[in-house]
Amino acid sequence: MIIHARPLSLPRFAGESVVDAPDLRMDERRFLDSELLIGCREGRSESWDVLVRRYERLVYSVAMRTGLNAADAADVTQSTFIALLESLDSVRDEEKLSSWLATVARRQAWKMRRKTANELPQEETPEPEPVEETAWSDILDLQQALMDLDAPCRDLLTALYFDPAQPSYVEIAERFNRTVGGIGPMRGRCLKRMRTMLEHTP
Amino acid sequence: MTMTTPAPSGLPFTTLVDWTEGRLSTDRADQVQAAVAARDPEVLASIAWLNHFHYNASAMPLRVPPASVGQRLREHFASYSSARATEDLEIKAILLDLTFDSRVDRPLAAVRSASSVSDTVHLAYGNDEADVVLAVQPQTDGTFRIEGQVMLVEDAHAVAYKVSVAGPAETLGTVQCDDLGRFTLEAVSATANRLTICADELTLTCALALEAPERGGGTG
Repeated sequence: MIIHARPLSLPRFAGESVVDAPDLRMDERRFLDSELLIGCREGRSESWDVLVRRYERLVYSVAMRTGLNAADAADVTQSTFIALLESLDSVRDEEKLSSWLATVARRQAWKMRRKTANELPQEETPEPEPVEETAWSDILDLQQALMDLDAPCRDLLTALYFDPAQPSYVEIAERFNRTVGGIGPMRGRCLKRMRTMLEHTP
Repeated sequence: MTMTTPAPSGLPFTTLVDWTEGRLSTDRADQVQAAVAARDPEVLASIAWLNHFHYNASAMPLRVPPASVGQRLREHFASYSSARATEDLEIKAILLDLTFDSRVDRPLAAVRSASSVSDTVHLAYGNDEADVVLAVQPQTDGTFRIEGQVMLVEDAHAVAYKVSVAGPAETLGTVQCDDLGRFTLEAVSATANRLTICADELTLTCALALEAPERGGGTG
């Protein structure tokens, strides 16, 4: 006879959202991916939230890069993270999560594209610009290094080099509460840090 | 190559970043150009890295997914962790078989006195997971004193056990086992019909019949 006990009550962040949780966003850099994975296995929703926030843009962008429209890319993003959830016990703590997620996202995105291509006329599914495997590897290493940077550097480099809206230096300076003249040196330091990280990547 | 070593030309990395992005004044740009022409290895390596960086960064800008994705993923995680918690807390509940009852089975060991045969009833329960032995002693007030010991086949559950004795409608008493799994229950009512031993993930139950069962022969 198996008796099912009452589920554990898990810690919650009431009303938490990306926009409304600035403190949590500031703190999230303190956690390594391995720590977040452990937290997720232990049922801690805050670990999951940080992990999703850390990688959702990467996963979504990978899906978009394969030529999906926004709605399909959102579906792929969701199914990629669900795949991670279902694989929590098998994903090794030392695994490069950016590569793991990007690989799953690409696979799911291609599946979605094939499905869409079968349903729509050929001219409605534009072919994306192909990316060589080695280029993918470089792109993902760069993304992982970006995620591993401290929050100020990551946010600044994201705004300067990875934001599709390509904001001006003036806009970025306002956003980061800095002078325009202060952006350049900080950018230099952050790029230097990223280069060091990438040069030490095995 | 280390990043802290300045280039022989003395050009800081930030200047090279500015140069690759076309943000330098003509004078400064000429300085960098001269270092490039002189094939300063540090400058060339830094510029190569920066070009590679710009290429890869522009290859995949980071787009923000709709907020609904994060919300749905939060809901998925809540369901997942709830299901996982339930799964983790599955309790193994085992009804142990009565393997020996001194009132029924003739003791093989030598009997020291007539009183020990008539007063104390020895019961043993067991299965592949655990053995439980009980010595049930009737008291003059009509209640029973039960001494017992729990012995697990594997020590994986070797934690503090809680032993409860219950009648048809209520729990009659609860005690804690000692480190060796021993326990004593005092003044147990004759109505007690089951003994339950609980650990974190394991519940063992023994059916009790404290009164002597109806049978042909006496107890001795």
